[in-house]
Amino acid sequence: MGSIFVEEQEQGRRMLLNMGPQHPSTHGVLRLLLELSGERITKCVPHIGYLHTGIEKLSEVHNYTQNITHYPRMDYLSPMNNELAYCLAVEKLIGLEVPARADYIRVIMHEVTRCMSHLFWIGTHALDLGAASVFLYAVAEREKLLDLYEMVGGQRMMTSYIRVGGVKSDVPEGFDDYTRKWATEFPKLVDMINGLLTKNPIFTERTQNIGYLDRETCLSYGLMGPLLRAVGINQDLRKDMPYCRYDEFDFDVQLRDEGDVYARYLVRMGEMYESAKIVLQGLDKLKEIGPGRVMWEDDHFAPPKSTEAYVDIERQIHHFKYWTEGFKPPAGEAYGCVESSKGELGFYVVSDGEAKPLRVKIRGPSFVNLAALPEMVEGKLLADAVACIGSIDIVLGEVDR
Amino acid sequence: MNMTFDEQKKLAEEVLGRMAVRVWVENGSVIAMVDTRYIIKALTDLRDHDETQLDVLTFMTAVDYTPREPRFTMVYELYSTSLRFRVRVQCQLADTGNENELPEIDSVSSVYRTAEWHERECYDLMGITFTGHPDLRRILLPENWDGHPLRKEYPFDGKRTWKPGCNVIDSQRMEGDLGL
Repeated sequence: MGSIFVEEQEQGRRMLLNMGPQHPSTHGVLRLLLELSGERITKCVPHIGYLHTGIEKLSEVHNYTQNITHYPRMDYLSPMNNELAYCLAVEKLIGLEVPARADYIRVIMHEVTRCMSHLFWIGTHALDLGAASVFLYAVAEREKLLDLYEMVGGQRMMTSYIRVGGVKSDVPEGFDDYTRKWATEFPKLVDMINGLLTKNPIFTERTQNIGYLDRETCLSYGLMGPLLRAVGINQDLRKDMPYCRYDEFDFDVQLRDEGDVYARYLVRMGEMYESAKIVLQGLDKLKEIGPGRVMWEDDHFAPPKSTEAYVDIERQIHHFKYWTEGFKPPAGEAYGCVESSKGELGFYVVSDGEAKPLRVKIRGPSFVNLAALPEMVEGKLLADAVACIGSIDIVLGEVDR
Repeated sequence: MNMTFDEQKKLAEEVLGRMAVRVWVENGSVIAMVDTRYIIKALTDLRDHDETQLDVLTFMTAVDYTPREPRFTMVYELYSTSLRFRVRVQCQLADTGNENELPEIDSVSSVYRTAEWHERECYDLMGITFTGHPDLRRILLPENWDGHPLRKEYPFDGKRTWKPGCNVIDSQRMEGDLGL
Protein backbone atom coordinates (compact mmCIF):
# COMPACT_ATOMS: atom_id res chain seq x y z
CA MET A 1 0.00 0.00 0.00
CA GLY A 2 2.83 2.46 -0.60
CA SER A 3 5.68 3.46 1.66
CA ILE A 4 5.87 2.21 5.24
CA PHE A 5 7.82 4.06 7.92
CA VAL A 6 8.81 2.31 11.10
CA GLU A 7 9.50 4.58 14.02
CA GLU A 8 10.44 3.55 17.53
CA GLN A 9 8.74 5.39 20.38
CA GLU A 10 9.07 4.99 24.15
CA GLN A 11 6.12 2.68 24.63
CA GLY A 12 5.47 0.13 21.96
CA ARG A 13 6.11 0.70 18.29
CA ARG A 14 4.04 2.88 16.01
CA MET A 15 3.90 2.33 12.31
CA LEU A 16 2.97 4.90 9.72
CA LEU A 17 0.87 3.28 7.03
CA ASN A 18 -0.09 5.09 3.88
CA MET A 19 -3.47 3.89 2.64
CA GLY A 20 -2.60 5.56 -0.55
CA PRO A 21 -4.60 7.40 -3.18
CA GLN A 22 -4.65 4.24 -5.27
CA HIS A 23 -6.54 1.75 -3.20
CA PRO A 24 -9.56 -0.36 -4.05
CA SER A 25 -11.31 0.35 -0.77
CA THR A 26 -11.01 4.08 -0.50
CA HIS A 27 -13.63 4.61 -3.21
CA GLY A 28 -11.59 6.98 -5.24
CA VAL A 29 -8.40 8.92 -4.78
CA LEU A 30 -8.43 9.37 -1.04
CA ARG A 31 -5.20 9.12 0.88
CA LEU A 32 -5.29 8.19 4.55
CA LEU A 33 -2.16 8.51 6.64
CA LEU A 34 -2.68 6.01 9.43
CA GLU A 35 -0.49 5.71 12.46
CA LEU A 36 -0.87 2.18 13.74
CA SER A 37 0.02 0.57 16.99
CA GLY A 38 -0.28 -3.10 16.07
CA GLU A 39 -3.70 -3.32 14.43
CA ARG A 40 -5.17 -0.30 16.20
CA ILE A 41 -5.28 3.05 14.53
CA THR A 42 -3.98 5.75 16.83
CA LYS A 43 -4.13 8.62 14.39
CA CYS A 44 -5.79 9.07 11.02
CA VAL A 45 -5.15 12.03 8.75
CA PRO A 46 -7.06 12.17 5.47
CA HIS A 47 -5.38 13.90 2.55
CA ILE A 48 -7.67 14.96 -0.23
CA GLY A 49 -7.31 17.08 -3.32
CA TYR A 50 -6.20 14.45 -5.80
CA LEU A 51 -9.32 15.03 -7.87
CA HIS A 52 -9.53 18.81 -7.50
CA THR A 53 -10.55 20.26 -10.85
CA GLY A 54 -11.35 23.82 -9.84
CA ILE A 55 -15.06 23.65 -10.63
CA GLU A 56 -15.78 26.70 -8.50
CA LYS A 57 -13.25 28.79 -10.40
CA LEU A 58 -14.46 27.46 -13.74
CA SER A 59 -18.02 28.38 -12.84
CA GLU A 60 -16.97 32.01 -12.78
CA VAL A 61 -15.93 32.02 -16.44
CA HIS A 62 -18.89 30.20 -17.93
CA ASN A 63 -22.45 31.40 -18.10
CA TYR A 64 -25.30 29.91 -16.13
CA THR A 65 -26.39 27.37 -18.73
CA GLN A 66 -22.85 26.25 -19.49
CA ASN A 67 -22.24 25.70 -15.78
CA ILE A 68 -24.82 22.93 -15.75
CA THR A 69 -22.32 20.76 -17.61
CA HIS A 70 -19.77 21.06 -14.80
CA TYR A 71 -21.88 19.76 -11.98
CA PRO A 72 -22.95 16.24 -12.93
CA ARG A 73 -19.25 15.47 -13.11
CA MET A 74 -18.85 16.35 -9.48
CA ASP A 75 -20.75 13.55 -7.81
CA TYR A 76 -20.50 11.29 -10.78
CA LEU A 77 -22.51 8.43 -9.31
CA SER A 78 -25.66 10.51 -8.96
CA PRO A 79 -25.37 13.05 -11.75
CA MET A 80 -28.82 14.56 -11.91
CA ASN A 81 -28.87 15.43 -8.20
CA ASN A 82 -26.16 17.98 -8.72
CA GLU A 83 -27.86 19.60 -11.70
CA LEU A 84 -31.09 19.77 -9.74
CA ALA A 85 -29.50 21.53 -6.77
CA TYR A 86 -27.83 24.11 -9.00
CA CYS A 87 -30.99 24.77 -10.96
CA LEU A 88 -32.96 25.22 -7.74
CA ALA A 89 -30.46 27.85 -6.59
CA VAL A 90 -30.54 29.79 -9.86
CA GLU A 91 -34.31 29.60 -10.01
CA LYS A 92 -34.49 31.10 -6.53
CA LEU A 93 -32.16 33.86 -7.68
CA ILE A 94 -34.37 34.75 -10.61
CA GLY A 95 -37.69 33.97 -8.95
CA LEU A 96 -38.83 31.43 -11.52
CA GLU A 97 -41.61 28.98 -11.03
CA VAL A 98 -41.20 25.66 -12.66
CA PRO A 99 -44.25 24.09 -14.35
CA ALA A 100 -45.77 21.10 -12.55
CA ARG A 101 -44.92 18.60 -15.25
CA ALA A 102 -41.25 19.51 -15.08
CA ASP A 103 -41.34 19.18 -11.30
CA TYR A 104 -42.72 15.65 -11.46
CA ILE A 105 -40.16 14.62 -14.04
CA ARG A 106 -37.47 16.10 -11.80
CA VAL A 107 -38.76 14.15 -8.81
CA ILE A 108 -38.76 10.89 -10.76
CA MET A 109 -35.22 11.45 -12.01
CA HIS A 110 -34.10 12.54 -8.53
CA GLU A 111 -35.33 9.31 -6.98
CA VAL A 112 -33.93 7.23 -9.82
CA THR A 113 -30.59 8.92 -9.21
CA ARG A 114 -30.81 8.16 -5.52
CA CYS A 115 -31.33 4.48 -6.34
CA MET A 116 -28.38 4.55 -8.73
CA SER A 117 -26.15 5.98 -6.07
CA HIS A 118 -27.30 3.61 -3.36
CA LEU A 119 -26.94 0.57 -5.63
CA PHE A 120 -23.35 1.44 -6.35
CA TRP A 121 -22.77 2.15 -2.69
CA ILE A 122 -24.09 -1.24 -1.53
CA GLY A 123 -22.16 -3.00 -4.27
CA THR A 124 -18.81 -1.49 -3.32
CA HIS A 125 -19.45 -1.53 0.44
CA ALA A 126 -20.29 -5.23 0.41
CA LEU A 127 -17.35 -5.89 -1.89
CA ASP A 128 -14.98 -4.22 0.57
CA LEU A 129 -16.32 -6.40 3.36
CA GLY A 130 -16.00 -9.56 1.32
CA ALA A 131 -19.46 -10.14 -0.15
CA ALA A 132 -18.36 -10.01 -3.75
CA SER A 133 -21.54 -11.31 -5.36
CA VAL A 134 -23.67 -8.33 -4.30
CA PHE A 135 -21.58 -6.03 -6.48
CA LEU A 136 -22.55 -7.74 -9.71
CA TYR A 137 -26.28 -7.74 -8.96
CA ALA A 138 -26.25 -4.11 -7.89
CA VAL A 139 -24.29 -2.89 -10.88
CA ALA A 140 -26.39 -4.93 -13.31
CA GLU A 141 -29.49 -3.27 -11.91
CA ARG A 142 -27.79 0.07 -12.27
CA GLU A 143 -27.39 -0.63 -15.98
CA LYS A 144 -31.17 -0.49 -16.34
CA LEU A 145 -31.15 2.96 -14.79
CA LEU A 146 -28.36 4.10 -17.07
CA ASP A 147 -30.53 3.00 -19.98
CA LEU A 148 -33.29 5.16 -18.53
CA TYR A 149 -30.94 8.12 -18.37
CA GLU A 150 -29.99 7.56 -21.99
CA MET A 151 -33.64 7.42 -22.99
CA VAL A 152 -34.44 10.69 -21.23
CA GLY A 153 -31.29 12.75 -21.51
CA GLY A 154 -29.35 11.32 -24.39
CA GLN A 155 -26.32 10.25 -22.37
CA ARG A 156 -25.72 7.46 -19.90
CA MET A 157 -24.37 9.63 -17.13
CA MET A 158 -23.67 13.32 -17.58
CA THR A 159 -26.93 14.28 -19.14
CA SER A 160 -27.34 18.04 -18.44
CA TYR A 161 -31.02 17.25 -18.68
CA ILE A 162 -32.26 19.38 -15.81
CA ARG A 163 -32.04 23.02 -16.86
CA VAL A 164 -32.82 26.33 -15.22
CA GLY A 165 -36.57 26.71 -15.53
CA GLY A 166 -37.49 23.08 -15.96
CA VAL A 167 -36.07 20.21 -17.91
CA LYS A 168 -34.56 20.26 -21.36
CA SER A 169 -37.32 18.40 -23.17
CA ASP A 170 -40.28 16.23 -22.39
CA VAL A 171 -39.88 12.54 -21.66
CA PRO A 172 -40.07 10.29 -24.73
CA GLU A 173 -42.75 7.72 -25.42
CA GLY A 174 -42.13 4.47 -23.65
CA PHE A 175 -40.74 6.25 -20.58
CA ASP A 176 -43.84 5.46 -18.56
CA ASP A 177 -43.86 1.73 -19.42
CA TYR A 178 -40.14 1.28 -18.87
CA THR A 179 -39.98 3.14 -15.58
CA ARG A 180 -43.13 1.56 -14.22
CA LYS A 181 -41.79 -1.89 -15.03
CA TRP A 182 -38.50 -1.08 -13.35
CA ALA A 183 -40.11 0.42 -10.26
CA THR A 184 -42.39 -2.57 -9.69
CA GLU A 185 -39.55 -5.06 -10.01
CA PHE A 186 -36.93 -3.11 -8.10
CA PRO A 187 -38.13 -4.01 -4.57
CA LYS A 188 -37.53 -7.68 -5.39
CA LEU A 189 -33.88 -6.95 -6.12
CA VAL A 190 -33.52 -5.02 -2.90
CA ASP A 191 -35.14 -7.98 -1.13
CA MET A 192 -32.50 -10.21 -2.64
CA ILE A 193 -29.65 -8.00 -1.46
CA ASN A 194 -31.33 -7.84 1.95
CA GLY A 195 -31.47 -11.61 2.00
CA LEU A 196 -27.78 -11.82 1.23
CA LEU A 197 -26.57 -9.30 3.76
CA THR A 198 -28.93 -8.21 6.52
CA LYS A 199 -28.93 -11.35 8.64
CA ASN A 200 -25.60 -12.60 7.39
CA PRO A 201 -23.46 -13.26 10.50
CA ILE A 202 -20.23 -12.20 8.80
CA PHE A 203 -21.76 -8.93 7.65
CA THR A 204 -23.29 -8.15 11.03
CA GLU A 205 -20.03 -8.97 12.81
CA ARG A 206 -18.20 -6.54 10.62
CA THR A 207 -20.72 -3.74 10.77
CA GLN A 208 -22.47 -3.72 14.14
CA ASN A 209 -21.03 -1.41 16.81
CA ILE A 210 -18.48 -0.10 14.33
CA GLY A 211 -17.97 3.57 13.57
CA TYR A 212 -20.36 4.90 16.19
CA LEU A 213 -20.87 8.65 16.42
CA ASP A 214 -23.23 10.16 18.96
CA ARG A 215 -25.77 12.87 18.21
CA GLU A 216 -23.83 15.91 19.40
CA THR A 217 -20.76 14.90 17.44
CA CYS A 218 -22.82 14.31 14.31
CA LEU A 219 -24.46 17.72 14.55
CA SER A 220 -21.19 19.48 15.33
CA TYR A 221 -19.57 17.88 12.31
CA GLY A 222 -22.47 19.04 10.15
CA LEU A 223 -23.30 15.56 8.94
CA MET A 224 -26.66 15.30 7.26
CA GLY A 225 -28.55 12.69 5.34
CA PRO A 226 -28.37 8.97 6.11
CA LEU A 227 -25.63 9.52 8.70
CA LEU A 228 -27.91 11.71 10.79
CA ARG A 229 -30.96 9.52 10.28
CA ALA A 230 -28.96 6.54 11.54
CA VAL A 231 -28.52 8.31 14.90
CA GLY A 232 -32.21 8.96 15.29
CA ILE A 233 -32.51 12.59 14.23
CA ASN A 234 -35.52 12.99 11.95
CA GLN A 235 -33.99 15.09 9.24
CA ASP A 236 -34.90 14.79 5.57
CA LEU A 237 -34.88 17.85 3.35
CA ARG A 238 -37.64 16.39 1.24
CA LYS A 239 -39.96 16.59 4.22
CA ASP A 240 -38.49 19.47 6.23
CA MET A 241 -38.04 22.03 3.45
CA PRO A 242 -39.80 20.50 0.47
CA TYR A 243 -38.65 21.37 -3.02
CA CYS A 244 -40.04 20.32 -6.41
CA ARG A 245 -43.51 19.70 -4.97
CA TYR A 246 -42.31 16.93 -2.66
CA ASP A 247 -45.08 17.78 -0.20
CA GLU A 248 -47.51 16.11 -2.64
CA PHE A 249 -45.71 12.79 -2.37
CA ASP A 250 -46.22 10.17 0.29
CA PHE A 251 -43.18 8.39 1.73
CA ASP A 252 -41.56 7.55 5.07
CA VAL A 253 -38.30 8.79 6.51
CA GLN A 254 -36.05 5.90 7.51
CA LEU A 255 -34.77 6.28 11.06
CA ARG A 256 -32.54 4.13 13.22
CA ASP A 257 -31.07 4.60 16.66
CA GLU A 258 -27.79 2.82 16.87
CA GLY A 259 -25.59 5.15 14.81
CA ASP A 260 -23.19 2.47 13.65
CA VAL A 261 -22.32 1.17 10.20
CA TYR A 262 -25.15 -1.37 10.32
CA ALA A 263 -27.74 1.32 11.09
CA ARG A 264 -26.53 3.40 8.13
CA TYR A 265 -26.82 0.33 5.94
CA LEU A 266 -30.40 -0.26 7.05
CA VAL A 267 -31.33 3.39 6.50
CA ARG A 268 -30.04 3.36 2.93
CA MET A 269 -31.71 0.05 2.11
CA GLY A 270 -35.00 1.45 3.41
CA GLU A 271 -34.52 4.54 1.26
CA MET A 272 -34.31 2.39 -1.83
CA TYR A 273 -37.75 0.93 -1.16
CA GLU A 274 -39.18 4.39 -0.58
CA SER A 275 -37.64 5.70 -3.80
CA ALA A 276 -39.42 3.05 -5.83
CA LYS A 277 -42.70 4.10 -4.20
CA ILE A 278 -42.08 7.75 -5.02
CA VAL A 279 -41.25 6.94 -8.64
CA LEU A 280 -44.56 5.12 -9.07
CA GLN A 281 -46.45 8.04 -7.52
CA GLY A 282 -44.61 10.42 -9.82
CA LEU A 283 -45.53 8.43 -12.88
CA ASP A 284 -49.18 8.48 -11.84
CA LYS A 285 -49.06 12.23 -11.36
CA LEU A 286 -47.45 12.69 -14.77
CA LYS A 287 -50.24 10.70 -16.37
CA GLU A 288 -52.82 12.71 -14.46
CA ILE A 289 -51.46 16.08 -15.42
CA GLY A 290 -51.23 15.21 -19.09
CA PRO A 291 -48.96 16.76 -21.70
CA GLY A 292 -47.82 20.32 -21.10
CA ARG A 293 -44.84 22.66 -20.92
CA VAL A 294 -41.70 21.41 -19.26
CA MET A 295 -39.88 24.71 -19.24
CA TRP A 296 -40.64 28.12 -17.84
CA GLU A 297 -42.32 30.42 -20.34
CA ASP A 298 -40.33 33.63 -19.97
CA ASP A 299 -38.19 34.06 -23.03
CA HIS A 300 -35.45 35.87 -21.19
CA PHE A 301 -34.45 32.97 -19.00
CA ALA A 302 -35.48 30.00 -21.08
CA PRO A 303 -34.65 29.08 -24.67
CA PRO A 304 -37.66 29.70 -26.90
CA LYS A 305 -38.99 26.81 -28.92
CA SER A 306 -37.36 26.69 -32.33
CA THR A 307 -40.68 26.63 -34.15
CA GLU A 308 -41.65 29.91 -32.53
CA ALA A 309 -38.19 31.42 -32.90
CA TYR A 310 -38.24 31.12 -36.66
CA VAL A 311 -41.53 32.99 -36.94
CA ASP A 312 -41.10 35.96 -34.62
CA ILE A 313 -38.18 38.43 -34.73
CA GLU A 314 -38.29 39.12 -31.01
CA ARG A 315 -38.01 35.43 -30.18
CA GLN A 316 -35.22 35.18 -32.72
CA ILE A 317 -33.33 37.83 -30.77
CA HIS A 318 -33.97 36.04 -27.47
CA HIS A 319 -32.80 32.79 -28.98
CA PHE A 320 -29.58 34.44 -30.12
CA LYS A 321 -28.95 36.18 -26.83
CA TYR A 322 -29.72 33.09 -24.78
CA TRP A 323 -27.34 30.82 -26.64
CA THR A 324 -24.48 33.27 -27.14
CA GLU A 325 -24.33 35.42 -24.06
CA GLY A 326 -26.66 33.64 -21.71
CA PHE A 327 -29.32 35.06 -19.45
CA LYS A 328 -28.59 37.63 -16.76
CA PRO A 329 -30.26 37.04 -13.43
CA PRO A 330 -30.75 40.01 -11.11
CA ALA A 331 -27.94 40.76 -8.67
CA GLY A 332 -28.19 38.90 -5.38
CA GLU A 333 -27.48 35.57 -3.79
CA ALA A 334 -29.39 32.36 -3.25
CA TYR A 335 -28.85 28.93 -1.75
CA GLY A 336 -30.55 25.92 -3.25
CA CYS A 337 -30.24 22.49 -1.74
CA VAL A 338 -31.50 18.96 -2.26
CA GLU A 339 -31.50 15.80 -0.21
CA SER A 340 -28.90 13.95 -2.20
CA SER A 341 -28.10 10.31 -1.57
CA LYS A 342 -25.17 11.35 0.61
CA GLY A 343 -26.64 14.23 2.57
CA GLU A 344 -27.47 17.82 1.83
CA LEU A 345 -26.07 18.95 -1.48
CA GLY A 346 -26.29 22.70 -1.84
CA PHE A 347 -25.25 25.44 -4.21
CA TYR A 348 -24.69 28.99 -3.03
CA VAL A 349 -24.83 31.21 -6.10
CA VAL A 350 -23.91 34.90 -6.01
CA SER A 351 -24.79 37.03 -8.98
CA ASP A 352 -23.79 40.56 -9.86
CA GLY A 353 -26.21 40.96 -12.75
CA GLU A 354 -23.86 39.60 -15.41
CA ALA A 355 -24.26 36.51 -17.55
CA LYS A 356 -21.58 34.68 -15.52
CA PRO A 357 -21.96 34.06 -11.80
CA LEU A 358 -19.76 35.99 -9.40
CA ARG A 359 -19.27 32.99 -7.14
CA VAL A 360 -20.62 29.49 -6.94
CA LYS A 361 -19.92 27.65 -3.71
CA ILE A 362 -20.74 23.99 -3.69
CA ARG A 363 -21.61 22.40 -0.39
CA GLY A 364 -20.69 18.83 -1.06
CA PRO A 365 -21.95 16.35 1.53
CA SER A 366 -19.03 13.98 1.01
CA PHE A 367 -16.54 16.76 1.87
CA VAL A 368 -18.31 17.44 5.13
CA ASN A 369 -18.89 13.78 6.00
CA LEU A 370 -15.28 12.86 5.39
CA ALA A 371 -14.13 15.25 8.12
CA ALA A 372 -15.82 12.95 10.64
CA LEU A 373 -13.79 9.92 9.53
CA PRO A 374 -10.83 10.39 11.94
CA GLU A 375 -13.28 10.60 14.82
CA MET A 376 -14.93 7.34 13.80
CA VAL A 377 -11.76 5.45 13.20
CA GLU A 378 -9.23 6.42 15.85
CA GLY A 379 -8.81 3.74 18.46
CA LYS A 380 -10.35 1.07 16.29
CA LEU A 381 -8.94 -1.72 14.19
CA LEU A 382 -7.65 -1.19 10.69
CA ALA A 383 -10.26 -3.47 9.14
CA ASP A 384 -12.99 -1.32 10.68
CA ALA A 385 -11.63 1.72 8.85
CA VAL A 386 -12.61 0.09 5.59
CA ALA A 387 -16.15 -0.49 6.85
CA CYS A 388 -16.38 3.12 8.07
CA ILE A 389 -15.23 4.61 4.78
CA GLY A 390 -17.84 2.55 3.00
CA SER A 391 -20.57 3.60 5.39
CA ILE A 392 -19.94 7.30 4.87
CA ASP A 393 -20.44 6.76 1.13
CA ILE A 394 -17.95 9.25 -0.21
CA VAL A 395 -17.47 10.15 -3.81
CA LEU A 396 -14.17 11.90 -4.30
CA GLY A 397 -15.43 14.07 -7.12
CA GLU A 398 -17.67 15.81 -4.62
CA VAL A 399 -15.03 15.96 -1.89
CA ASP A 400 -12.47 17.62 -4.10
CA ARG A 401 -14.62 19.36 -6.71
CA MET B 1 -40.64 25.50 7.96
CA ASN B 2 -43.50 26.58 10.12
CA MET B 3 -42.37 30.15 10.70
CA THR B 4 -42.83 32.85 8.11
CA PHE B 5 -39.81 34.74 6.85
CA ASP B 6 -40.74 37.80 8.87
CA GLU B 7 -40.91 35.77 12.06
CA GLN B 8 -37.52 34.23 11.33
CA LYS B 9 -36.09 37.68 10.64
CA LYS B 10 -37.43 39.01 13.94
CA LEU B 11 -36.04 36.00 15.77
CA ALA B 12 -32.59 36.55 14.29
CA GLU B 13 -32.68 40.24 15.16
CA GLU B 14 -33.74 39.45 18.70
CA VAL B 15 -31.02 36.87 19.32
CA LEU B 16 -28.23 38.85 17.71
CA GLY B 17 -29.15 42.16 19.30
CA ARG B 18 -26.56 44.83 18.69
CA MET B 19 -24.11 42.48 16.97
CA ALA B 20 -26.24 42.53 13.85
CA VAL B 21 -25.61 45.38 11.44
CA ARG B 22 -28.50 44.49 9.15
CA VAL B 23 -30.98 41.61 8.84
CA TRP B 24 -32.97 41.10 5.65
CA VAL B 25 -34.76 38.46 3.60
CA GLU B 26 -33.47 37.72 0.11
CA ASN B 27 -34.48 35.03 -2.38
CA GLY B 28 -35.93 32.75 0.24
CA SER B 29 -33.32 33.16 2.98
CA VAL B 30 -32.91 35.27 6.09
CA ILE B 31 -29.50 36.94 6.00
CA ALA B 32 -27.89 38.69 8.95
CA MET B 33 -24.84 40.88 8.50
CA VAL B 34 -22.90 40.95 11.79
CA ASP B 35 -19.91 42.86 13.02
CA THR B 36 -16.78 40.86 12.22
CA ARG B 37 -15.33 41.18 15.70
CA TYR B 38 -18.28 39.34 17.25
CA ILE B 39 -18.60 36.44 14.83
CA ILE B 40 -17.81 33.74 17.41
CA LYS B 41 -20.28 35.14 19.92
CA ALA B 42 -22.95 35.58 17.25
CA LEU B 43 -22.70 31.97 16.11
CA THR B 44 -22.55 30.64 19.65
CA ASP B 45 -25.68 32.57 20.59
CA LEU B 46 -27.55 31.39 17.53
CA ARG B 47 -26.58 27.82 18.29
CA ASP B 48 -27.40 27.81 21.98
CA HIS B 49 -30.48 30.02 22.20
CA ASP B 50 -33.65 28.02 22.83
CA GLU B 51 -35.70 29.71 20.19
CA THR B 52 -33.24 29.34 17.34
CA GLN B 53 -31.34 26.07 18.06
CA LEU B 54 -29.28 26.43 14.90
CA ASP B 55 -27.21 23.36 15.54
CA VAL B 56 -25.67 22.66 12.13
CA LEU B 57 -23.22 24.81 10.20
CA THR B 58 -24.15 23.80 6.68
CA PHE B 59 -21.23 25.55 5.03
CA MET B 60 -18.83 28.41 5.41
CA THR B 61 -17.19 30.29 2.61
CA ALA B 62 -15.85 33.62 1.43
CA VAL B 63 -16.87 35.69 -1.57
CA ASP B 64 -14.40 38.00 -3.27
CA TYR B 65 -16.14 41.21 -4.22
CA THR B 66 -13.17 42.98 -5.86
CA PRO B 67 -13.04 45.97 -6.34
CA ARG B 68 -15.44 46.68 -3.50
CA GLU B 69 -13.93 47.68 -0.14
CA PRO B 70 -14.09 45.66 2.20
CA ARG B 71 -13.11 42.96 -0.24
CA PHE B 72 -14.32 39.74 1.28
CA THR B 73 -17.67 38.69 2.65
CA MET B 74 -17.58 35.62 4.89
CA VAL B 75 -20.75 33.59 4.70
CA TYR B 76 -21.93 31.11 7.32
CA GLU B 77 -25.10 29.18 6.61
CA LEU B 78 -26.80 27.75 9.70
CA TYR B 79 -29.58 25.21 9.81
CA SER B 80 -31.73 23.97 12.66
CA THR B 81 -32.64 20.30 12.51
CA SER B 82 -35.23 20.65 15.25
CA LEU B 83 -36.96 23.87 14.22
CA ARG B 84 -36.29 23.42 10.50
CA PHE B 85 -35.23 26.80 9.32
CA ARG B 86 -32.10 28.47 8.00
CA VAL B 87 -30.24 31.65 8.75
CA ARG B 88 -27.30 32.95 6.80
CA VAL B 89 -24.78 35.00 8.77
CA GLN B 90 -22.40 37.22 6.88
CA CYS B 91 -19.56 39.46 7.90
CA GLN B 92 -17.20 41.59 5.91
CA LEU B 93 -13.46 41.34 5.92
CA ALA B 94 -11.07 43.83 4.44
CA ASP B 95 -7.93 42.79 2.63
CA THR B 96 -4.59 43.95 4.01
CA GLY B 97 -2.98 46.46 1.69
CA ASN B 98 0.18 44.36 1.71
CA GLU B 99 0.53 41.61 -0.87
CA ASN B 100 2.49 39.31 1.43
CA GLU B 101 0.09 39.46 4.35
CA LEU B 102 -3.19 37.59 4.43
CA PRO B 103 -6.33 38.97 6.10
CA GLU B 104 -7.30 37.44 9.43
CA ILE B 105 -10.54 36.54 11.09
CA ASP B 106 -11.47 34.48 14.13
CA SER B 107 -12.00 30.79 13.58
CA VAL B 108 -15.38 29.34 14.50
CA SER B 109 -14.10 25.78 14.76
CA SER B 110 -14.62 25.97 18.52
CA VAL B 111 -18.34 26.49 17.91
CA TYR B 112 -18.86 23.97 15.11
CA ARG B 113 -16.31 21.27 14.36
CA THR B 114 -17.22 21.15 10.72
CA ALA B 115 -15.70 24.60 10.31
CA GLU B 116 -12.24 23.05 10.56
CA TRP B 117 -12.31 21.73 7.02
CA HIS B 118 -14.33 24.60 5.60
CA GLU B 119 -11.84 27.12 6.97
CA ARG B 120 -8.93 25.12 5.64
CA GLU B 121 -10.53 25.26 2.22
CA CYS B 122 -11.09 29.00 2.59
CA TYR B 123 -7.45 29.51 3.52
CA ASP B 124 -6.34 27.33 0.64
CA LEU B 125 -8.43 28.87 -2.11
CA MET B 126 -9.01 32.42 -0.88
CA GLY B 127 -6.03 33.14 1.32
CA ILE B 128 -7.79 34.11 4.54
CA THR B 129 -6.19 33.06 7.82
CA PHE B 130 -8.24 32.01 10.82
CA THR B 131 -6.85 32.72 14.27
CA GLY B 132 -7.45 29.91 16.70
CA HIS B 133 -7.77 27.20 14.10
CA PRO B 134 -6.18 23.94 15.33
CA ASP B 135 -4.61 22.89 12.05
CA LEU B 136 -4.57 25.53 9.33
CA ARG B 137 -2.96 24.17 6.19
CA ARG B 138 -3.90 23.63 2.59
CA ILE B 139 -6.48 20.98 1.95
CA LEU B 140 -7.28 20.72 -1.75
CA LEU B 141 -4.11 22.00 -3.35
CA PRO B 142 -0.62 20.60 -2.77
CA GLU B 143 1.27 22.09 0.15
CA ASN B 144 3.74 23.90 -2.07
CA TRP B 145 1.19 25.73 -4.25
CA ASP B 146 1.80 29.41 -4.87
CA GLY B 147 -1.17 31.71 -4.64
CA HIS B 148 -4.82 31.42 -3.81
CA PRO B 149 -6.81 30.50 -6.90
CA LEU B 150 -10.33 31.65 -6.09
CA ARG B 151 -9.23 35.25 -5.74
CA LYS B 152 -10.29 37.34 -8.67
CA GLU B 153 -6.77 38.29 -9.76
CA TYR B 154 -5.72 34.65 -10.15
CA PRO B 155 -6.18 33.68 -13.81
CA PHE B 156 -8.49 30.73 -14.33
CA ASP B 157 -6.04 28.93 -16.62
CA GLY B 158 -3.22 29.11 -14.10
CA LYS B 159 -0.30 31.33 -13.34
CA ARG B 160 2.67 31.01 -15.64
CA THR B 161 5.31 31.90 -13.05
CA TRP B 162 5.47 30.94 -9.42
CA LYS B 163 7.55 32.35 -6.60
CA PRO B 164 11.10 31.07 -7.01
CA GLY B 165 11.85 27.85 -5.16
CA CYS B 166 8.32 26.89 -4.16
CA ASN B 167 8.01 24.03 -6.63
CA VAL B 168 10.64 22.03 -4.82
CA ILE B 169 8.90 19.49 -2.63
CA ASP B 170 10.80 18.72 0.51
CA SER B 171 9.17 15.35 1.02
CA GLN B 172 11.15 14.37 4.08
CA ARG B 173 10.02 17.45 5.91
CA MET B 174 6.47 17.41 4.63
CA GLU B 175 5.60 13.76 4.84
CA GLY B 176 7.87 12.26 7.44
CA ASP B 177 6.41 14.32 10.24
CA LEU B 178 3.75 12.42 12.15
CA GLY B 179 1.94 15.68 12.69
CA LEU B 180 0.81 15.58 9.08
